[in-house]
Amino acid sequence: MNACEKYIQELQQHLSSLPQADRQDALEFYKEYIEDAGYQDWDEIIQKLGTPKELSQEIIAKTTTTPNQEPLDQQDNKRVRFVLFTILAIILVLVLVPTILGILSGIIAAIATLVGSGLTVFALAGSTLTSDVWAGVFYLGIGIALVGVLLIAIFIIAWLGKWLVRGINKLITLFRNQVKGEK
Amino acid sequence: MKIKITADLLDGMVLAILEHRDYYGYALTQRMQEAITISESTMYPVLRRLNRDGYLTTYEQSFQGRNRRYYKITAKGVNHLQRVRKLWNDYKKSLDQVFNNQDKQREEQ
Repeated sequence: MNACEKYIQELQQHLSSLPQADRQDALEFYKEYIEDAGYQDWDEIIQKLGTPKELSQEIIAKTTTTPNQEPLDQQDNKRVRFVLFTILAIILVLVLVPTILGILSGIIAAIATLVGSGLTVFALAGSTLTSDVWAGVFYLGIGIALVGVLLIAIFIIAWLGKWLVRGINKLITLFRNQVKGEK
Repeated sequence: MKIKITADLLDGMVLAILEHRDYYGYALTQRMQEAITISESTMYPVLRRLNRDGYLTTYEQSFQGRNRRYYKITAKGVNHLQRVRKLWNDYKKSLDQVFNNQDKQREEQ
């Protein structure tokens, strides 16, 4: 047996963990390579390609058929995490969406009530101001107070909205990272 | 000291060589070694990856009573090569500006 055949045979033994097709592919490549290069003796082959063991390690490390080279159990782990995250996200959406809708409709109703009563009070103030000055001033005061309450409410709503948007953004980013990690 | 070549650039170089004509493994490795220092065990994983991604195909041709595996670039490979080529040219241009002190020349003008 010449050096090339011996080298290929040893390489084959070190590649036994690879699927048959992958192993065959690598062996054919290197057999052809050594013949084309015209390497004659063992030392020359080892000097150029490394020992069969070293070469096999490089082939296995870089030739796995799966696109990413993480160990399989880690991939499974990721898959499980991905599924869990998806379920969590669905539950969150199911709970969050009605809650947010409820809060929003409450806010709109409150603002409508405030604006409505404000307008009524101002109208009352306008009509009474001519007949009874003090009653008119009283209503005017209530109206101004209502405007104040409205402004405070808008401020609080804006503040809440900002945090809500930030929270949702964060959740989306977190989820997207999970999905990316899966790929 | 030598500059490390990334996997993307290795892929691009192989595709650029194959754009010219088809090569078999040993000849392709020789051609690469004319340009950069790489070990002879580097090429197989690169070719394997390019093949898997559909950037090249292989075919066998008999030579002195045995087979040689030739590598041929695909249309997808040509597309990919154009992307890598553009990336490389942009990268080269911006690094040239730094290394050749073109900022200084610009200021002096």
